[in-house]
Amino acid sequence: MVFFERVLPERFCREFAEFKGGAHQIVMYMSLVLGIKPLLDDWIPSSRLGAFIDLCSNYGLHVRADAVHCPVNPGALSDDVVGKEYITSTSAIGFPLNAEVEGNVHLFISKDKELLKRGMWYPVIVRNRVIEQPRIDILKYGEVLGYPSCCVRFFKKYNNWSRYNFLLEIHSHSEATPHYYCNPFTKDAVYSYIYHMPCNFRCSETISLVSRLRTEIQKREPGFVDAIDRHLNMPFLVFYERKFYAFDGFIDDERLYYSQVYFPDSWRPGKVYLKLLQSGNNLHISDGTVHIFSGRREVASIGSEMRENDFEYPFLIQFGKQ
Amino acid sequence: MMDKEFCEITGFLFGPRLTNRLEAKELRTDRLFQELANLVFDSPEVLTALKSHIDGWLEKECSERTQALAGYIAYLDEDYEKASSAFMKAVTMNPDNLDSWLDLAFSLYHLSDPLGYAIIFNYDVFISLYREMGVEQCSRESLKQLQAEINRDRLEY
Repeated sequence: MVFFERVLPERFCREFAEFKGGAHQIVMYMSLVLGIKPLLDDWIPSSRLGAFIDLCSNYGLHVRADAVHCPVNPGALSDDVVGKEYITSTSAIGFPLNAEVEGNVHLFISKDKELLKRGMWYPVIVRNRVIEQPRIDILKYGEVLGYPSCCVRFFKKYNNWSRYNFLLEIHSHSEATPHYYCNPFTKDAVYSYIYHMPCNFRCSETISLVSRLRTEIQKREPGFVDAIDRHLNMPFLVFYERKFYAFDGFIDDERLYYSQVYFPDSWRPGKVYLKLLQSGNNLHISDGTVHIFSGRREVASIGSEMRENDFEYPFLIQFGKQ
Repeated sequence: MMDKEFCEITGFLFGPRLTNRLEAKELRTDRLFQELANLVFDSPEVLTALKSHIDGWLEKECSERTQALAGYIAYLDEDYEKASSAFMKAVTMNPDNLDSWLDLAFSLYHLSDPLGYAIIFNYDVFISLYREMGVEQCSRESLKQLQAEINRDRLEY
């Protein structure tokens, strides 16, 4: 079976993937066009803004262009920038739309023109100062994007990297068998029906939301849905945010048997354990240490001394269809 | 009385309004807006209580801190027109306070008023020109005049 090959829908919303040069967020564009997702934001090269607005218009979508973001390496910023300590690895300098700069236009897209007013400013540097949006805009934005309120509230409580391993919190709040509709692990590699973090891996609101979306996409793109489903049902070994691995294999009695290992995220530092995992074909976790075997012989282990921080704690998960 | 009522509703002290001057190089001086956002998001009934009191508090105390509070309450209630009006009054009372300028800018941002973006991208020029041009009252008209001046002199990006 082949995993993580480039996949595109045959027709429905395919133009978005072709325009952007990849299928990132394509399922969310489908959800927008189907009237399920209320609003989406994205970044488009400023030189291609007009063509993108035309494309959206063909699908009955309205666009509000917000600001031009020019990415900048946080390490290269001068100490004079007020608030530079608050910006993330995705920092940018912001310019008005009429500025003669080449960058990416941050924009909001929706079927409902009125909803575009609820788009949220992203923190960027303007005239040597980080300009942040009011806190309430951040808190309410999940709802604007169509995320279930239970998940938005869970996110507010546990999305604190200095206090929690967010993925482990979701896992520990998941009492029942995880449902593949609630699998967020491959969202950046196209194969997911959600772009939010669920409050548990069997969140009823998320299942209901995905059920509607998947049914509509399947009517139009059955092959695309098959590809997504296959990926969502793979077993995963999760360490930390953006540090997880997918396997061609299965879990039996808390032991994972596998023939291939994949790193589905785009954050390269998260790939650190890939070679160790590739050296074996089965593994299990004991007292927080991942023991990797080739047949019956232990060939490697990933223990606490190798971890990025105290919150990195491994767990195995395989989502099911029931 | 007002301070006591506010504390009873929110659990926060309603302290004096501090001025976030550009030269201080502080991201934000005020913390109340953020604290109220967290509180109201978790307990929406707090916003209902604040809304029922704010007009009375404004009658009792005509100050920058009360106008800013009125702006916060309206913003949290997504009444951005009312919020922008309150923040304009706060700017009129203290045009050196960057916090009020940015709160005003984001209220206008949600109204899709181009003045919102104009302030966000030229906040420092707006503050200095406001003084230089001797503006007496912050209003949409005076802001448009400032923006025209900025455009004329190409002070913006």
